[in-house]
Amino acid sequence: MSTLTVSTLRAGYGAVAVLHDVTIEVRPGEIVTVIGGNGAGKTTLLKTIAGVLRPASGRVTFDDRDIGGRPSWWVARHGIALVPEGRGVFGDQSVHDNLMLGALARASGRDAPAVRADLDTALALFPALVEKLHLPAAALSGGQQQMLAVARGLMARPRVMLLDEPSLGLAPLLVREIFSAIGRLREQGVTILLVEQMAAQALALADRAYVLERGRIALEGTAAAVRSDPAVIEAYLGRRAGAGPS
Amino acid sequence: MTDRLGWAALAIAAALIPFFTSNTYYLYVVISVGLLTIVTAGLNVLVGFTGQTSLGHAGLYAFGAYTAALCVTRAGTSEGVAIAAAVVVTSMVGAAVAAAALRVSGPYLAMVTIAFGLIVEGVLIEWGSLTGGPGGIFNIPKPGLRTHYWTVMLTAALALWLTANLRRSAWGRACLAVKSSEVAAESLGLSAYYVRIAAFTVSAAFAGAAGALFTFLNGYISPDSFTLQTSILFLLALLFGGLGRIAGPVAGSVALTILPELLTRLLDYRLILYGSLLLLSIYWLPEGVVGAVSRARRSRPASLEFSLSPVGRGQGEGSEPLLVASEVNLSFGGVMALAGVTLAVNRQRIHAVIGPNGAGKTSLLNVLSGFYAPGRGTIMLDGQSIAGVPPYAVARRGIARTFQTAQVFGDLSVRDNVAVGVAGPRLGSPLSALLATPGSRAREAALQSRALVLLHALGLAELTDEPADSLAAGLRRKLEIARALATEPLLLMLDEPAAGLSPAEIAALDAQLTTLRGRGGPAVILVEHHMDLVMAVSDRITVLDYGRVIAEGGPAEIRQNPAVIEAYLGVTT
Repeated sequence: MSTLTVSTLRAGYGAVAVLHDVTIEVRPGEIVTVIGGNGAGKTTLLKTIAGVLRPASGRVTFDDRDIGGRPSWWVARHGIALVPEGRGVFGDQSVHDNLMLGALARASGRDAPAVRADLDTALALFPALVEKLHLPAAALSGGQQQMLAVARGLMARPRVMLLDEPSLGLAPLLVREIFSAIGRLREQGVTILLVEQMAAQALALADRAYVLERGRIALEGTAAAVRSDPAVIEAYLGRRAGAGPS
Repeated sequence: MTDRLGWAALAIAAALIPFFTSNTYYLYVVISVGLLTIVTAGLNVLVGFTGQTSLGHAGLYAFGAYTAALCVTRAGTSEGVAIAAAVVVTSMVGAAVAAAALRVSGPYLAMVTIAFGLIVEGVLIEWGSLTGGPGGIFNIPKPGLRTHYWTVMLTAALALWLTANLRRSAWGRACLAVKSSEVAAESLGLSAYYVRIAAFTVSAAFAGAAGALFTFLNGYISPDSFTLQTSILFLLALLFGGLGRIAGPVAGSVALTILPELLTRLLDYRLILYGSLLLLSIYWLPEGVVGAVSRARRSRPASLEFSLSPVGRGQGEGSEPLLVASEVNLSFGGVMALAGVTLAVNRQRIHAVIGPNGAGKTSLLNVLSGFYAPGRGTIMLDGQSIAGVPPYAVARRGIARTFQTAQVFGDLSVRDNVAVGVAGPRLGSPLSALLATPGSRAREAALQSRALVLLHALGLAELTDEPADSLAAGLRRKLEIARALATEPLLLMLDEPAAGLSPAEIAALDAQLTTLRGRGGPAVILVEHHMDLVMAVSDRITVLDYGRVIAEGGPAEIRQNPAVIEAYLGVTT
């Protein structure tokens, strides 16, 4: 039904292709993670799905509809929310207003009570934002801005959330918090495509995983299978698997 | 190569024109193209390289024109002396205007320059005894049209050559760095204000030269030639031709001079034409005609000899701490970001600062690097106070830093990013950069080879010629570290260098930091959340929470500290 599929996708910036041939599938209710080194094309993949970049060739379909090349606002309105790497919060506006702006992208349920209910849900997931609700977003610390970005994405009531390194710049305690928040999102029926450098944590949470290397899918399978692949352990898990639950 | 052929063809065409036509009208039109090229080449340094908009260059053009006219008519000087005087006077006026105007930037700067242009125009009209009022100055002795043709063409060629030299020099990179990230430029010791003034002054000198040559074209000048519309035309020619491109001014000047001449019957619609061209170029040619035509591919001699000389300023072991911050307070509108923070960092040691998000770690770095002045407290670097000293001056005393969101200079290549750091504030004189003197070239070669060494040392050698814009986030951080090390700092402050790195890349960073310390590198303040990295490399650790120091000690101590576990680590790792 509302499966998100990417097939033989080629995309990049201008004449430079970053993704060469990428095929992935995200089924309803799943958490799918994409891991890979710097410059592998993880962010490019999310941006292309979200309509920020146009595919050079290949298809992106959602709900059996071709969404490749649609503008980003259209994609957002149709239930796919991108939480970009590096936060991208509106610094001049209050935390509250940032969250309300997130609700603009929703396809339905824009009435005040529904929005307020979702606001409460989002704040329950990220209680640290409650006391900062009326401060400008620029006054938040980096980690709080990251939480705001995820919460803002939730306000769109997305069916699929694209999370680009949500753990980036978060303290160890908060890393655990954000991963458990992602777990709770799944319980609420949100499908998640997660790009992470903290491969161990991402694989512990995910149902399935893809390994992206130099713009191509090098490996795919259940998270458990990928986690025990010797090449993955060598390249992405290593002895420094990060400080977190394992 | 094709670039060179293009330039040669252009030069030959310009040189041949006088031999093929004796029609003075054509010569007049080509001279007008040359004058516009000179002004826009200068404007390119300000707008294209440095990112500051001026809508008042007609005022500077007027200064050049009237200075030359007065020299010849009142003082009876020769044409050459008059042109030189015009350049000098206009440069000085430009520097003075810039010093006042560049305290603001963006739309405010555009407004200030418009005001300057209007004031000049008004003075030209009102100060009749000097300027001849609305009627202007006439009967100015002028050279023959053909002679003048050569003068203008050679000056235009010179103008383009000078800007090309500037673009390739440390000055050119400094301009682009300031345009791309003022914060990062200041952290490398560049004063953005000073760089902008220099760029404005250079552009004023060009406008002055063109103004003087304009005087000797007609033998008659009046305020009508120096209106706001003229300023807009200058900017439009540059935008249409290609902002920041060396050939942009030529393309824009040709288009904006010749098109209206072809359509003389439509003279009344000239403004509509300009407006349409502006819209056209913004929508369809965001990089101008030249940008659309060429995919400028710069190639440089690749000198690959490198040695890993120690990265740092040969510094003694000294038992005195390098940096001592005591009782530092910082508040934002009543919220205490830092409350009595005390920190001592020893030479050649790695000192980690950790704590929950919002604890004040980045605020501390911002105070130490001069971006915020502390409300209270003292900060001593190597025995000298640096509290409240502006960022570029702190950088010059030996503190380099990276940023939580990597601030690379996107328009510059990876190598040029590092070269900005190598040069720091040592840019040499703008004049030698414009003229590409042997000294300036030798300095440039040294800068480039030093930059290459650093890129090799940090494993970025493969990306040397990539534009920094195209790098993935983790690589930008690496580039930032290379650029900061390029300044040979006493103290390097890293703001979450491992964020966005894969475990393998973090291991590499660990090795680099350890090697750096082993080779007598700078002291390091490391703000980081990856505890495995922090625990592995740090000599000391300071833990902040709610703007206060809650613990300080070696890694083993900190790991066991109950307050730290409670506030930050959670379960012991």
